[in-house]
Amino acid sequence: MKFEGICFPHPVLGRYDDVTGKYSVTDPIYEGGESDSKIIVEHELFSPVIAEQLKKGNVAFATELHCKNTGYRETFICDSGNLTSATQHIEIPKGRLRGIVETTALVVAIRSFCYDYHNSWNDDYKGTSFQIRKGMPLSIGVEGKIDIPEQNDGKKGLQSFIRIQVDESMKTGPFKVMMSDDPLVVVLPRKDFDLYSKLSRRKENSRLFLSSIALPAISYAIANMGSSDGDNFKDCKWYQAIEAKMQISPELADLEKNEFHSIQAAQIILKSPLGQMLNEMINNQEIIGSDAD
Amino acid sequence: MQIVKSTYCSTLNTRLELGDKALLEFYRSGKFDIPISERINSAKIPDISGLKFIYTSNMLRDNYENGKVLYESLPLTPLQASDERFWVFLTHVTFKDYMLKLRPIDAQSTGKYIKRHYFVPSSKFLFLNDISLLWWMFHFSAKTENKKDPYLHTRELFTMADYTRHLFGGKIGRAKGVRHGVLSFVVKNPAIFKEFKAFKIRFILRMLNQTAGNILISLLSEDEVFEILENNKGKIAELKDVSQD
Repeated sequence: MKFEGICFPHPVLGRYDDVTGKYSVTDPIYEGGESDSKIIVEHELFSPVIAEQLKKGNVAFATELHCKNTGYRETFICDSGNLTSATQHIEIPKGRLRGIVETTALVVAIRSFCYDYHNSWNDDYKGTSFQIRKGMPLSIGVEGKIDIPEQNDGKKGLQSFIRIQVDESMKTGPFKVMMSDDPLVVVLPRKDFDLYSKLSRRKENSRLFLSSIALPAISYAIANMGSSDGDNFKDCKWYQAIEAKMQISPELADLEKNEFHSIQAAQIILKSPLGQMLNEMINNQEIIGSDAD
Repeated sequence: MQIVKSTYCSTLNTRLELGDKALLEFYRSGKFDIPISERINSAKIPDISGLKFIYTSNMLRDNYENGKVLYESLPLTPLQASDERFWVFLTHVTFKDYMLKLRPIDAQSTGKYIKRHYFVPSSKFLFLNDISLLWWMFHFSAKTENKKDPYLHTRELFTMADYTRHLFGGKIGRAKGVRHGVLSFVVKNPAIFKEFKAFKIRFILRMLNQTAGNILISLLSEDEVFEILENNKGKIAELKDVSQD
């Protein structure tokens, strides 16, 4: 459930200054098990008016999971905890989720009730009461994302969303980045591809390729994600992976998906590829140097 | 069962996207296949190489029958069923003849057309690929707990092609309670849907989308969604698609 731009008829904690108090949720944690996956969400609430409804059993802490890749969408009610906090353990049988899972944590009505004015509500609501129906949120937390590791081949993270391919029609020339594909494809001319294939087998070259291929490709993708065509790629796993990383990493929180920030964001996502490459080169030189001694 | 190697699958996708002439000719000749060296065995997926689909002039009935045999032969998890490599193998090898009847490839066919029907480059294509679509429609509508008639809602789904776009085109149909609530309402009220069925179903989904604007609709059960529709039964029954007058 997306809360952006939604106006609720009743006061909701976390929406503007509707209700005084605080509701916070930790970043969801994913734990893969043998036969099922576990997602852990911690809810924390400081609101007497909502705590009162929790006590009456009218509302509950809840988390909605939505995985576009497998069409999975379900809300889980937390059946433990107290009036101010709860740790929710959500168990999902293996094989239900792939890639990015969007999470929405909230305090939600689990049955109909009358929600009467409380002094923690904004004065504008004075003297009012609302008929609340099952499913209406009383408090909204942050919307999060979890990147479920690939269960088939053990690949994890962003690099599994980039693939290097050959363009048979080109012998030489600049490489291209294909964004409409999943994964994100970097297409090299035949000659470069053959050299790349040979050199990429050597582990020590991986950092060089991170800087020279992955960095410009991801930077280009981020710049396009923020463009008017960006929405066309929303279903692609590479798009979801980059977006999830941008949301999860605090260093990326202030950066926008556009051409001005793309190179900076790509470097953060790839964990300073230039620095990694330079260190690798220095190490190699030192080894060569020590051999010479 | 065999599936396509991921690098080969990705290479085909890219070359089609780039409009690679040699590859397009290969498809247009009808001789396309997955070379043995580009296949891998997946022990977890049952072998269905002997399965044949029917193809007659009654598309909706064929789809239901073909979907049923496919779904019952393939007890996949959603994770397995969202793997492009698997569906590409089926469209290129197992059901190639069926696909060529349904989505012929001729001299005018573009790389984009072939990708749209013979590949699954992202999750939205699971409902555009003619083979994966069948499995996913059964997966989303079958009620295995109803031993007597697990496909009651599935049969309804195959009465109108528009369901794919409207019920599964957006986020709302991914909520189990919503899709079963809607299908149950249509099945139990045949008189209401005698006329302007597609129009009325579009209206229902618009209405539920509005409801979902301020309630967490994935929390509602099938019965609760059904009740919302029952409360609006009169309004739905009176609807007329004036564009058809």
